[in-house]
Amino acid sequence: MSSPVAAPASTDPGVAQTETLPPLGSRLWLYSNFDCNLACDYCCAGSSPSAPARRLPVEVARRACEELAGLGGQKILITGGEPFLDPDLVDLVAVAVPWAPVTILTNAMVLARGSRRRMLDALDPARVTMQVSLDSGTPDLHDRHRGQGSFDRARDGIALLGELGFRVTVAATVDEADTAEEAGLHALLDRDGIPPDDRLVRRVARQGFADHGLALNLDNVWPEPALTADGAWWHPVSITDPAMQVASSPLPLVTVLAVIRATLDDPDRDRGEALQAFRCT
Amino acid sequence: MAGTYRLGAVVYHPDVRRIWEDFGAWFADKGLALEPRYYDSYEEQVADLLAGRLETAWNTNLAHVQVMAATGNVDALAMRDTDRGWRSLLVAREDSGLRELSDLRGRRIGFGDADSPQAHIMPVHALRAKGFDPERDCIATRLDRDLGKHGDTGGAELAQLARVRAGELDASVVSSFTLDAVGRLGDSSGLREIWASPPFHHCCFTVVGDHEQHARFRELLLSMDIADPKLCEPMELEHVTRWLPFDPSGYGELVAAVEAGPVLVGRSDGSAA
Repeated sequence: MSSPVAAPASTDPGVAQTETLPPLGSRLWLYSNFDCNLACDYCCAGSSPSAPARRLPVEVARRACEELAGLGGQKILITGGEPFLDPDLVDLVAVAVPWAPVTILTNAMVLARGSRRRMLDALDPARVTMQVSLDSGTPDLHDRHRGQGSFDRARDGIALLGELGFRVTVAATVDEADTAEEAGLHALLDRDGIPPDDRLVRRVARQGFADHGLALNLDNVWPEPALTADGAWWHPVSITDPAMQVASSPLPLVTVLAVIRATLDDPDRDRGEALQAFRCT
Repeated sequence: MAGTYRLGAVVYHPDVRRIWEDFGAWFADKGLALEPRYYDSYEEQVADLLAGRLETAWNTNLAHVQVMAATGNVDALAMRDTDRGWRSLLVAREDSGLRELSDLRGRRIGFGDADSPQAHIMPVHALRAKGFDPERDCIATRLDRDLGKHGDTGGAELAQLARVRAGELDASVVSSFTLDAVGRLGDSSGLREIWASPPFHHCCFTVVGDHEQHARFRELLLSMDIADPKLCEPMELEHVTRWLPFDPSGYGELVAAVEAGPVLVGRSDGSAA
C-alpha cells in the first residue's frame, strides 16, 4: 500500500481564515519561568522579581518539543518571566533546537556578565533568534512602564546580541494613548539596523498586571498553545486567566491540541466576532 | 443500592482522574456507585482485576489479551466507537522516494514503546507475517518513553515521527489513531503511508467472571449521550463519541502476536540495535 496522507482540511467554520493565523500545531510557546528582573506594569504574566520561578522542567520541554515536531510544528518560542533568569535555559534551548527554529523573548538587561553571559555564549546564534522588548524611541515611555534605566540597558543588550551574531527582533507594547511614540521607535530601529519585518508593535492586553487594554477570550483570539509548569493555555498572553487554561498538565501535547481543536469546533461557541491573531512575535 | 462497582483506570494523563470523577458523578445520579481506582501501569491494573479487587478494568487491547492469557473466564462489556479498526502504519516522508515495504529493506525504521500494541507488538508481528522481519530486514530502533502505559500517550510515536521528518529515520510506526491526530491537529501533508497492518480493535472494559452490576454498568455506559452537558467534556477527553457493545472480533491478531512470544526490536534508547 502506498498513498499520500491527505492534507488536513479546514474544520473551522466561523473562523476568519486569513494568512496571518498560524495553523494550530505550528507554533509552541514555552514559559521557561515566571521570575523577572523587572515588574512591568502591563506584564501579561504577572512576572516580577518576587514572583515564584515556577520553572518548566527540561524533560517536559523535551517531550513537548518532540511531540510538536512529530505533529509538523515549525516554531518554538521561549518566554517568561525573564528566560535568562532560568539557570536551565541552555538545556531548555538544547532540547528545542533539534526540532524547530527557536526564539527567546528577553528584556536583554541581564546578559552582559556573569552566569547569564555564559548562558548567552552557550547558545548558537545560527539557531536562536532573540526578541527584545523595547517600547519607544526614547527612555521616557519605556522606563515609565518597565523601570528607570531599563531603556538604556535594553539597548546595550540589543547591541551585545548583535555583536554576538544573533538575529535580533524587537517587540514593543504600546498603549492606544501612546501611539505617537511609534514613529520615534521606528526611527531608532532604522538607525540601529533592525529591519522593518523584525519589528512588532502590539497593544496592551488586559491580563496579568494590566488593568486596561484588549480583553482577550476563547471567542476572540486565535489559539497559540502555551505550556507552563502548571499546565497548558490557549495563548501566551492568557496564562494568568483560569478561563483560558486548556489542560492541567502540559503533556501530552496532543491532548492539549485536541482540547483546543474541540473548543474551536464547538457548535455552541460564540461566533459573534471572528478569531483574530494576537501577535507576540 | 448494591455495593460499589470498582473500575480500574490507568493514569496516562492527569485528566484521567477528572474523566472518571465526572463519569462517576453521572453514574451516581443513575444509581450506580462507581468507585474508580487509579493505576500507574496496566500490569498493576490487570493484577488487581485477576485478584478480584476490581469489577472491571478500562484496558488497552494488550491488557485485555493479557487477562485472556491468564484466565479463560474473561469477557468485556463495551468499547469506544474510536476503538474499532485501528491499524499500525509505516510512514515516511513524501519526498523520500520510499513507496512500498520492499523499499524499506536495510532502512532505519522507528518503533514506539516496547509495550505499545500499536507501535511495536502488532506491527512487528504483522510485518513478520508479510515476510519482513524488523530484526533482520531493517535497522530497527525503539523508543521506550512511557512503559507501563501501553503506548496510550502517543508520545513515542510522535517523537519517532519527528525523527522521520528530521531525516534521522527513514520511516516509523504510527497508529492510524495518532496519524489522524496529526492531520487534525498538525500537518501531515509531507508524509506518506508505506504500509498498513490488518485492522484491530483497541480498548475495552475487561471483566472476569460474573457480577450482578455488570449489566447495569454496561447499560448505562451505552446510554451515554455526548450532548449531555455532564458528559460532553469527559467523553471528549476520553476520545469517545459513543460507547459500543464489545466486539471480540478485533483481537485475534494481537492474541497471535502475544502467543508468538516476546517481541523486542531495537535498543531502548532509540538508537539502532
